[in-house]
Amino acid sequence: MNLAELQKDFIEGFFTGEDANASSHIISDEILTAKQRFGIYKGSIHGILTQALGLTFPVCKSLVGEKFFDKMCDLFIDQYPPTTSFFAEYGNHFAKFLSSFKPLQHIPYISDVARLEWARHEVWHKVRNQSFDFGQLAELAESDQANIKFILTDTMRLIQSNYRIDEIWFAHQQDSDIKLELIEFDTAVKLLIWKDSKELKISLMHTNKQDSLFWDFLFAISKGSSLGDLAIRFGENLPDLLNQGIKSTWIQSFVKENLIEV
Amino acid sequence: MSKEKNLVKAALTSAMAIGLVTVSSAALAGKPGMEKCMGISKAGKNDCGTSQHACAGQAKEDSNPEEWLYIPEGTCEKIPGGKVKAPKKK
Amino acid sequence: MITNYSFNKVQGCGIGLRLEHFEDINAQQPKIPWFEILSDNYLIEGTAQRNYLYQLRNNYPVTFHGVGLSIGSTDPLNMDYLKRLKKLKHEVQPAWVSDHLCWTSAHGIVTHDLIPLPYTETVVKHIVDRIKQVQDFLGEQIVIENVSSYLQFKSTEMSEWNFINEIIRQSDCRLLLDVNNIYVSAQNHKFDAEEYLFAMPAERVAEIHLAGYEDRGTHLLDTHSRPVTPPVWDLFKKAIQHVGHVPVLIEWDNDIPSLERVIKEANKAKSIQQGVIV
Repeated sequence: MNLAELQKDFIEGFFTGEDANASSHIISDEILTAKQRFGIYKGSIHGILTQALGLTFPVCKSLVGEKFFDKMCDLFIDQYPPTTSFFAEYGNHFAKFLSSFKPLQHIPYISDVARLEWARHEVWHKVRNQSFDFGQLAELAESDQANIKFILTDTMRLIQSNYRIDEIWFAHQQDSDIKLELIEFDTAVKLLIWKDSKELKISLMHTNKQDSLFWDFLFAISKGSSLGDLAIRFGENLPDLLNQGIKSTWIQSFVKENLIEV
Repeated sequence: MSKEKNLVKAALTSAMAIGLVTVSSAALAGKPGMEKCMGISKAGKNDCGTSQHACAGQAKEDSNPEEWLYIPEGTCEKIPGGKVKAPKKK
Repeated sequence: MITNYSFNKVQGCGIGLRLEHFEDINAQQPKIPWFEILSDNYLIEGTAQRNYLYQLRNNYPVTFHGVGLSIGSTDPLNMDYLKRLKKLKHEVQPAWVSDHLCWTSAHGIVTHDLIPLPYTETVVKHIVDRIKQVQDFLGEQIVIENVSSYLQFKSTEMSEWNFINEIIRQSDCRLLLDVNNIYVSAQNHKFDAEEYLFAMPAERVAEIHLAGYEDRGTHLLDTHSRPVTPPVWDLFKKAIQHVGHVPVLIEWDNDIPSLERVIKEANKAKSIQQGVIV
């Protein structure tokens, strides 16, 4: 017996339908066959992971119902078995999985709801306590100025959807007065997910021009636009937007292009 | 000097004047431009529960891949136009 | 933030900390001698869980109990995990650090479940080497727990109790004696629970675990979702006779009831323990 091979056979059996190799290591008896005994573990692992996904994606779970969610998670788990020791880090592929999951193509908003739930989950776990001196901008050579890129904080996420995922999400929270029946679900939204000292918040950024422009500005930064790109795109608004971005603390630092950190 | 170059200069001048930005979690409250902030979830059990790890087994049957095609029985049925059609059985 | 806690001695009957109970614990400050925390839940910095733990630690001694060590894996030891654990240990100063005698991850995949090992000389050596590495890294003895199981390997060469004894003797670690796990495995594999229990090295037992299982007909499943059952209480009495009055802990991880209910279970353990003359 080689332990590494045994563990390889078990891992394969846990996350695929192929459990013959795994079962070959196990004693069958009059009560349960080797395959059934292996199945107890496989079921337990899938149960533990499904429970974890249900806690990270409670609204997705409500949307499709518990039974469906449970079966869908079995497929997800086999496709994306965990590679992390921490539950907090498991589920980052869930939204992507949902978007290509054929039985749910009639609920096109569900993968965006999953993105929102994952963003909240990630922001919840992030910590931030560093300082940055933007006075350093004064030291830039003139030829470098247009090439710098700004770095956004990890404790905030920008999400855009063609669907009213904010209301869909809120409608599932306790004491919500939003009725699912009344949601105009195919309305586009721009959201900013962030955390203050106590709570996770979802800010709506599409309801007026100013917020919407600020959201677009932050989003352009998140996509790697340089200061020169931002000047072209945001024109006269650039100084105010940058000022707002830094004062709001969403912009946490800057780098010279192609360099890691200033 | 191009228009963009002027904008870059103006933006930098305004930004560098802000100087040192210190972030502590408490300072994150009350951001400019965030008045319409809605959506507060209590930072309680729901959020922390995601990392619960119990060193116990789960009583779940070994999954049978042929049986998963249930019709969703979830809240999505309530959302107008968002109804799920029953997937066809294989 | 490093505080030198004046109290980290653990004794009597404690309970496993579950986040569902945290608000109640904070508000009521119940008379619980200590809490065991599932250390894996607190290894990410800057989370609400971390803050809860710091708050709790101001008022109670704690022990660490983990799932992620994967001491039986053939993958290299997860140094990222161990570094985080060591750092948290330094901050929170638990009475000790425990994990399970099994594997939870292999070939880069983490099952998050406790998978048993074949009981062979080769596996003993493999695990002894790894426990020594972990103890060297953490700078102290670790405590390992016997797990419950639902399968037996064809390649097994020795009894589970001989396997455990060899590992503890050779690696110089301590034992977390899970009485419920002994009972569950004894029922599942038709061996004598008392033979197992009395073969355990009494002087190495740091702690006893108690929990409730589910009867699935063909086997008992260790779900930690129920009160402790009568046969496990009986075995617990014999365990106390064997190992003496070591700290005891109630684990309730699924279908979690009120804090009061879990404390009631710990008080039951306490009264049984006090009734046994050793």
